[in-house]
Amino acid sequence: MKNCNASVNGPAAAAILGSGLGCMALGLITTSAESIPALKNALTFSVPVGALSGQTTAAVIIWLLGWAVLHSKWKHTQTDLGKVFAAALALVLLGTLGTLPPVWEIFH
Amino acid sequence: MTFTVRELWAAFHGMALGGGYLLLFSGMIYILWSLKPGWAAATAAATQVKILKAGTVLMAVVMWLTVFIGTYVIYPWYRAKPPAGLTDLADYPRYFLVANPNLAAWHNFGMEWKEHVAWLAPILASAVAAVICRYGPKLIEEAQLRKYLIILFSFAFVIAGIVALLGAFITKAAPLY
Repeated sequence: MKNCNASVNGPAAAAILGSGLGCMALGLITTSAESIPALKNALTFSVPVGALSGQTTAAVIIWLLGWAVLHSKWKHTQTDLGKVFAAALALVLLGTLGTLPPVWEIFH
Repeated sequence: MTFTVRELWAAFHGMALGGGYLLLFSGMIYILWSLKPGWAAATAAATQVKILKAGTVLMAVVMWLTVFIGTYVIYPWYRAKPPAGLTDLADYPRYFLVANPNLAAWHNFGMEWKEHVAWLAPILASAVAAVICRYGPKLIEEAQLRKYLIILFSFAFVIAGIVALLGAFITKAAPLY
């Protein structure tokens, strides 16, 4: 990857917030799928793997799309990196919580 | 002493890839932390940045391989359903654990959490590697960005460490033969 546009922090902010979106997506999809049987069935892309296949595939797609959209918006922009990072960290922590089985139980 | 194909895959997944990732982390986090203005001569800093780029990209690739192999090669063996009426569940780890009240938590909490949360580590590691590759030597001047990358990278490491520990304990409770 070239060091182009390294004078602004937008591309870094996009990568950081994009990763937060990906983590949040995984947590949200996991909790939702464990609470809604129809969604769990729909996310079973691979029978031997079960719903985990769809949950993780969907989260990875959302992560990559989110990153791409943010990057296209911010590639020439100087962002408030502190705020972006705080938002990303909150999303990562919420996403992590969403992968915890005791959290799924709350929504059962 | 012999190993089954499943044991070899599990060892490659957990020890070669997972262990390799955890080992690489210590070196990369030190280089990232030490990329401060004036800490190294320009030539040394340039070398450090090159190592950091290669190392973090390698870690992201290793982490993706780890979760893909874990999910699509090993996990199907772990969760395979035993034939009806089978009483010896030793070859069906998920069902072996769930059938034993003293071990059920290793599946109901341990494996259920591990199989999902593990996927956060490559996402975070990839974001860190991408930023390092894009900004390169400019990171020396970007203390705030470097700090945030260290936090994200460390979070990915903690997740990978928890997942590795759970994997080791679950394998001990219900080995994959």
